[in-house]
Parts: sequence; structure tokens; C-alpha cells
Amino acid sequence: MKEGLSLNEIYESVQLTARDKFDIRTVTLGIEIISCVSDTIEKTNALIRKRLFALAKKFNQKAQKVENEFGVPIINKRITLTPATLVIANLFRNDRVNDLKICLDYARNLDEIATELKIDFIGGYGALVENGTTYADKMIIESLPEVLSKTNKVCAFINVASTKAGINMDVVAHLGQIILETANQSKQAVGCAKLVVFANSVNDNPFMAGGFHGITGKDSVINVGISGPGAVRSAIADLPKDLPLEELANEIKKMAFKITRAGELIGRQVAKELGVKFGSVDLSLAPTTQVGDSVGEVLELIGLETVGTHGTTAALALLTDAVKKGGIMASANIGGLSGAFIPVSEDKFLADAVKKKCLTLDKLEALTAICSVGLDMVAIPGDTRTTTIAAIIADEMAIGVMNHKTTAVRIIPVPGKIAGDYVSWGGLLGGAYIIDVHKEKSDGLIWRKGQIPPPLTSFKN
Amino acid sequence: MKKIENGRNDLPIIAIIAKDQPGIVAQVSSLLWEKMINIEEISQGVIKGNFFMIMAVDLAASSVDFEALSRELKTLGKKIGADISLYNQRIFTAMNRI
Repeated sequence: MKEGLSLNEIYESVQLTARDKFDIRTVTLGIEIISCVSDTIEKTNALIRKRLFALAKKFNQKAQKVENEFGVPIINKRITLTPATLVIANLFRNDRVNDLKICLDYARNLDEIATELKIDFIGGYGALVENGTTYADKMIIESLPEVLSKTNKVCAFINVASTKAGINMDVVAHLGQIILETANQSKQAVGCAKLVVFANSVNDNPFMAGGFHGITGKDSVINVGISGPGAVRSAIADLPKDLPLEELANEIKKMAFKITRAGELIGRQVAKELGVKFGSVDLSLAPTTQVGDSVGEVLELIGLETVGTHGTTAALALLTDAVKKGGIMASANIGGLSGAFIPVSEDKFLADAVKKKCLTLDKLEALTAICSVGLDMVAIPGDTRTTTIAAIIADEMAIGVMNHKTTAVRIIPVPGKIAGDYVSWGGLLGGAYIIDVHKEKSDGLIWRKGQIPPPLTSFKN
Repeated sequence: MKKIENGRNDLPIIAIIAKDQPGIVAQVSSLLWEKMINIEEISQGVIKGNFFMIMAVDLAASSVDFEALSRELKTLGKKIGADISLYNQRIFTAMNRI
């Protein structure tokens, strides 16, 4: 081997997949579909079908080939599309019943295509409304409960805030109701697991449920989301417990470098096989429900008795920063969210910490300041007030807006469940203990509605 | 640790991890012989208590392709109690070099 790799280096690389569960969490094909807009929903759906099959017919097969060749499993194959509101606005006729039917027809078409293509999820059903809503945006939002409960693979997002625009509290208030309605219409509220509410959303997010293909991008593009809590765990598990933090950070950086390089290589190879451009690698550490693949466990290994206790924010700051530094050294194509994920139901250590009441909603909110999707797959009591759900979203959005970063909420009020109960969704979504919310009301704030203005720091011109 | 310096950098790599060595090398070599696969380079050692061996192989003269060989090696690994995988060499270079 010309590069002079040592046996030890190859051994460690082999063990990353064999022992440490390193995998590519998702290879996501982003596709622009504004070019499919026609004058009826039937024609538009037909054109979308044609375009998606032309680009993605061999997506699964090619991804499998690359997976076999490089020995790194690709867990999910996903498609992100242009935000739905831009694609179907032209079809609405100011007739609410008819227009909501168009929304459902559109989503069902995507669901069928994803099933036929054997794609895990298809994203982009959503709207960007931080500055205000159009009629089409309102239809998309109103359709969410039905769309998310009647389709399986369609994922939705609503961007309600940005540093430049502030927070659209009209939509935030409405989403409190929409999320509760979605929970009530779908089995164990699972529809809510397919909806992400964003501040400062990004155009090249490969992760679901919030991914969409931004309008500023290419016709089609492959974006990659690496996983890797297991890899980071193995990098630090055997280190001395009194190793100074800067040295610990260096070890995490080295591992982040390796897994980012692997992610980019695999993403580029899939893109080449499909004949589309390569976009970016998202550095987010994404846990899975598998034992040994937990962000919570990594935080505990840094030196916490239970994740959620005092010091958790500091430990997550060290982890997230080290992963970014290692990843940025490894690739010039870093994008997406690139911050640690802390999806409670998908991470065994986080779920257990909620059970112990050590990890609370307030602590998760604090962690948002230094990761991307702070309130992620958090199950709350089914009788939570819609204004409380809206207020939880507003807090999270405020952190993103004021700190010039992406934040997001994927929250699930589970009907009939109270704090401490357990709910299981299975598969990648895992299961979670219901986390308690404050009983004191936020109604006054929410029903004022209007816009929380952008921060002073956004006026830089 | 000996470095693998010579040879081509595009050959598939067979990586074998096992608790004990006896018989494993012979079994793998025998499979490669049957399939007319040349072994271009071999390196082995004991790392963290595991026997670890890599073989750079050339499939040019063989009737089996990368994916078929990968499947056969996995099956053999299960039979003889070793973890045997086939890799595109580029993954190791990517992970360890800029």
C-alpha cells in the first residue's frame, strides 16, 4: 500500500465498524422539484413521480453496493425535496376543503413513491414562515395532522424563526394546536415524530424528520449524515479517568476526523454511482437505540454519574466542539446541522436519565445552546396545554435566534400518558419515558401572537 | 509495527480478526486458491490480544467479483470462528491520511 498504512491503523479502522458500530446514519438524495409544477395535482404528481424515479430508481441498489465495498453500513436512504409550499401553491384555489385534499394527494403520492423506491423517509413537506405565512403555507400547516397520520414515510418541517426575521409567534401558537391534533390522530402520537419545528433551518440537512432540499442548491445532490457515538465511545472508554480535558478533546477530534473522512468517501462514491453531485457531510453525532451507540453514554464517560446532572452542558460543549474541529479538518464539505443530536427516545442513556428524573425538559433546553436539535423526540404528557407546547417551542426558537444557530423541536404529546409512563415506537424511533412539563400556564405570552423581533446582533449591514 | 509500503493501493483488502490463529490462514488461502485469486501482500500481528491479518488480493484472474468474494469470506468466517471482511483499500487511506 503506497500510503504506508500500518497494520495498527488498519486494525483500528476495521474495528470501527466491526466493534464500535460506526455507520453512515443516512445518505440523503436532495432533489429539486419546482420544475415538476403543472396546472393540476394529478399532472404535478405524475411529473414528480417521473423525476424521482429517473434520479433515484437505483438509489437503494447503489447505496448497497457502496456499503458492501467499503464495509461501512448505510443505515438509511432518504430523499429530501423542495419545500412543499413552493411546489403546490400554484394548485390551490382558495377553497379550504379542496386545497387540503390537494395537500393530502401530494403527500400520498410521495409516500407511495418512497415505498416503491424502498426509501426510508422522504422529507420536504413543509414551509418557511419566519417572516409570515402565505395562503399556501397555512394550508400546509393545517394539513399536517392528516398528512402525518395518513402517510408513513413523509416527513415535515416548519421553519418559524430566524435570526434575521425573529420568531413568528402566530405560527408558533398555531403549531401548539397542530402538534396536539397530530398526536391525537396518529397511533401513539407517532405522527409528531415526523415533524420538526426550526429556527434558522439549513438547506442541506440530510437528517430526518427536518430535512428539505433548499431552493438555493443544485438540481440534485447527495448529502451524508455520519453516526458515530459508538466510535467516540471507543476512543475515550479506555483512557485514564484523570486525563485532562484538552487531551480528551484531542482524542475525540482524531476519531471525528476518521469517521468524517469515511463519510465523505462513501457519500462521494454513492453520488458518483448515481451520477449526481456530492453536497456535504453533516457532522452531527447521531445516536441509535443500539447498546454502545449513545451520546448520553459518551457524556457519562467524560465524567458524569448520570447524563442530565450538573456539568452535562459543559461535557456536551467539549464533545460537540471536538467533533466539529476533527470533522472540519477532515473535509472541506461540511454542512447540514453539524451539532450533536440528543433525541431522547433514540438514545438509551438519555431515555434512562429521563426515567431517573435526572434529565429534565429544562436541562434539554439548556443543552440546545450548544447542540442543534435540543428538544428531540421528547415525549410529554398527552394533556399538555397547546399553549404550553407553543411556549416550549418559543423558548427553543429564542435560543436559536439570539445565538445565530439552528435549533429545533420534535416534541410528542402522547394521549393518555402522564409523566413517568413509557411509550415505545420501535425501530429507529425507540421509546421514551414521558417527561414532565411545568404546570404553570404561558397563555398570556402565546395569545398575544405577533412577531418577536430579531435581535440587535442581526443588524450587521 | 511493520508498514506496508510496496505494491498497489487499489487492491481489495481481506481483514481477518480472530482469537486464535491455527488453521485460519490455511482456510482463507485455500479459498483464494480455489477462486484463482492472487495474494499480493500479507501482513499479520497480534493487536490488543487479537490475531489480525490483512491480505491485499488481486481478483483480475478470478471468476468471482468483489461482492461474491465478500459473501464467501463472511460465510467462511462464520464457519471457522473468525471475523473476515473484504474492503476497498480507499476506506483505510481516507480514514488515516489527509
